[in-house]
Amino acid sequence: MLSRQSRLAALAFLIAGLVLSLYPSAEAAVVAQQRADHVFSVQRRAGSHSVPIFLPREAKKNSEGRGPFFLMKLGVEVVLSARSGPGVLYVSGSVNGCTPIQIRVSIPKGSGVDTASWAAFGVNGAEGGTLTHGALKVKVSQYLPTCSLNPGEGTLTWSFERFGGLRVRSLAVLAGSDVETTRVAPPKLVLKPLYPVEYPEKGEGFPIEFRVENVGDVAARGVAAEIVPRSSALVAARPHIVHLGTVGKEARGEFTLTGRKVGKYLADLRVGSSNANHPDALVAVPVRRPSAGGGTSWWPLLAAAALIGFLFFGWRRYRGS
Amino acid sequence: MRASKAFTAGTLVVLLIAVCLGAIVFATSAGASTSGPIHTKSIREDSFKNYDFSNMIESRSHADWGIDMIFFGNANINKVKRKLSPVLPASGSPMYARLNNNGSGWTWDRDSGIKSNPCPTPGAYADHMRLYAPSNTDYFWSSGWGSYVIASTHEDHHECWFTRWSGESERAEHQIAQDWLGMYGGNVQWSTFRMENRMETGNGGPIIQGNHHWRQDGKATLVLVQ
Repeated sequence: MLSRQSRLAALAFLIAGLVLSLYPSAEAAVVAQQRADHVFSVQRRAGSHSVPIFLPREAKKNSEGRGPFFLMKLGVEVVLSARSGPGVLYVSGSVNGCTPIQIRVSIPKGSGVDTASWAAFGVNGAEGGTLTHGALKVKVSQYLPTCSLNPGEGTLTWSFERFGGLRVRSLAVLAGSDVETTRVAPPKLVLKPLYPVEYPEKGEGFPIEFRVENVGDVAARGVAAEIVPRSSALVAARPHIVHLGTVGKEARGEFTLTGRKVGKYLADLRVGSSNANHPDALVAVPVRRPSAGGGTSWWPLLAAAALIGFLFFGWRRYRGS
Repeated sequence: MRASKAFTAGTLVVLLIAVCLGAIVFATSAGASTSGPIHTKSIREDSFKNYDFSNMIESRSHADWGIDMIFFGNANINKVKRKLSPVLPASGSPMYARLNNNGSGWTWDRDSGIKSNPCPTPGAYADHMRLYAPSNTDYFWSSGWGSYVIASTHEDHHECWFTRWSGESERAEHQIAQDWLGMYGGNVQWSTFRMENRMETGNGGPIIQGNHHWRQDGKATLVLVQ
């Protein structure tokens, strides 16, 4: 016969087990994989290699929140011909006709292999560098875009295309290049402007603070905010752009605005990033009249003094005539 | 002496003709234009302005044409130009687009574009499309559209003659999308993405400012590139 405490402990264990089984695993599962290096025939200008892929029914267009998310990893080894001229080579991985990754290798006009460079957009934003003696071995990861997400059977395609005089000696998609599911969410920024407690006065500088929250798991990189007033009655003090760098969970910043005229004015507050979304917000700023005792309140007094003076001298002239 | 007088008269006539021609060319090529409001289009990981510009100045008076096409899926500038080269084999003069794809600020991209005819004579016209993307990759990347590029389109009418004019972007946009569909088939979404750059009269007629004949519906056509 189990004691009451033992029965409670067993129940708690059961509930915990149920909860854990419902909570999604953080581990990745491979959907499709390149098991061995695929070597392309580089004599032609373009080539491709396709394999079937099966995306589970969770692969929906609106796979946000907790996912699952689908990540492509593309490893590439390129060796350019020593006699290559200027031109461009794209190596890409696509799923169902949409491309998560394009690696661009280029030689600028009037140059040779020694000046070759590469660039791509990966999970962490813009990546790139120079080739060593015309050779490049690189691995880039990126989430599948929503235009790739069709549940069921589909096609995973590795391809290349050459432009201009660029010549390639060898090109391979490396073994281990794959598409896998993950619960690690891509970066997603949420922008929240924080308004001043009191309405600012005309001519007075006041701060517009803002908070940028990253609700994804991957850090947002190259984050910067800018403010653009919609009316010349509102002036933003420099700098108009605040660089926040890498945002893991949250970052704060502020701009200083000055209202030149009394009224309600708008300013666009925008946030950019190299690997996350670009949220924006419309900030409404009501600029009020300066309070009594301010510098401009002397004007009515001066006007009154001028009127009195005018009346006084007018009366003296009348008396004197 | 007589020969000298004849020479002077001849020179004067030639000069007069040259001045007249210059005046006509100036009159037909001049014509300041002003676009609608310049907006920032923020699409997930990227931002760009909804017009391209005649030089690196972001203002309504320097706007050339509205952005009205998006090639997405597996696009880059070289690929789109190569695929359209059978119908747009020539190139034109450069313009500039304002882009921000990495958060570190706005940059300019320059493109001369591709044309159906390098120099249309009287009675002829050319479709002209300029394509823009970050210059380090020649494509944008979006978690919605994959790799994509943006484009502005217009027609150049009898460009190599005195009465030249440009515009009718909507017609050029549809012609180029139709050409794409004819050559490659696939997915073309006509005038679907809001660009906030509608420039036409209330009943859909052109807005004529000098030699700038605006007519676009403010919605970009999306073309899937594979």
